[in-house]
Amino acid sequence: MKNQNTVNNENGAVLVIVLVLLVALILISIAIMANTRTSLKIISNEKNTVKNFYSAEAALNYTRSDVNAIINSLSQANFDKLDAGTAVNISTTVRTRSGIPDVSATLTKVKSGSPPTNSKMGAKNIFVNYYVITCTQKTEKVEIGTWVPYPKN
Amino acid sequence: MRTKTKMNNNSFISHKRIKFKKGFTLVEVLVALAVLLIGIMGTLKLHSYIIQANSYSKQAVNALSLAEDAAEKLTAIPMTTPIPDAFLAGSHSTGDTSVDINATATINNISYSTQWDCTPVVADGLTVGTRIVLTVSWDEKGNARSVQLTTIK
Repeated sequence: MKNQNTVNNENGAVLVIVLVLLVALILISIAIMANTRTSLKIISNEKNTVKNFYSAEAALNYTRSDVNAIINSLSQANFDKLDAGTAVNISTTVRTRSGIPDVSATLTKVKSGSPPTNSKMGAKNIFVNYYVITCTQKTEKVEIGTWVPYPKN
Repeated sequence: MRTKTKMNNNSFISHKRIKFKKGFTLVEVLVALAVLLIGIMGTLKLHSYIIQANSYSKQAVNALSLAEDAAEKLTAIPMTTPIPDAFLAGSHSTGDTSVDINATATINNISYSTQWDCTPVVADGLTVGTRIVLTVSWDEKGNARSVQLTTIK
């Protein structure tokens, strides 16, 4: 008899229904919010990636056009005689001279030899050092090969 | 005997009406409505934020792709002597150069304007490149938004 009373008693049922509806509404809202947060994170990451890429490329372009001065500014006396594969950290020079903050750059000597064919440089009078310039800005890393001529002694 | 049965039937019907066909009281409904309204108002604010954030991320994606497009078009211009119009020191948008970059583009009723500022990169008194600061800006319901890419050519 007591049980049946509890089951059939509808006092306060509206409040329960409303609360259940509200919980459902809040859950849906949270799900949509999570979705929005993800898309905001995606665009912010994408923005940073693109910015970092262009920054790294900027450092690369700068280093390529100013490679002679950079090599001259290095403290190594016989830089031309560096072993192939030796990576030299030129980050500080690149940062100060190009004005790009936080970029890190290395110059790696690949080999020495005669100038590339089609370079219109006489192999008789000129030696060439081949380098790989690598520039990294946070997650983005770009590299390019270049060569620097110097007269044969 | 006959009358008694009838009376019994009547009392059963009236009892059922009171006990099982009872609706919600006005107070109950009012309280429930108030609770529901407060809850909906809370989530409504969240939803308006979600809508705004979603439209921002859509616009940022558009702006970023416009910026990348312009940056790649600028990168594709060969650096010659004399320096091409697009890289002369100062502020540029379309019109003062032959580059196919839209100064303004309208996507989904939002107008994006593209411009780039060029400054020479000078090291040891020599110009070794041009710093390009490319900005795509748009108006997001009164808030000025922009995406900026910096590179050196």
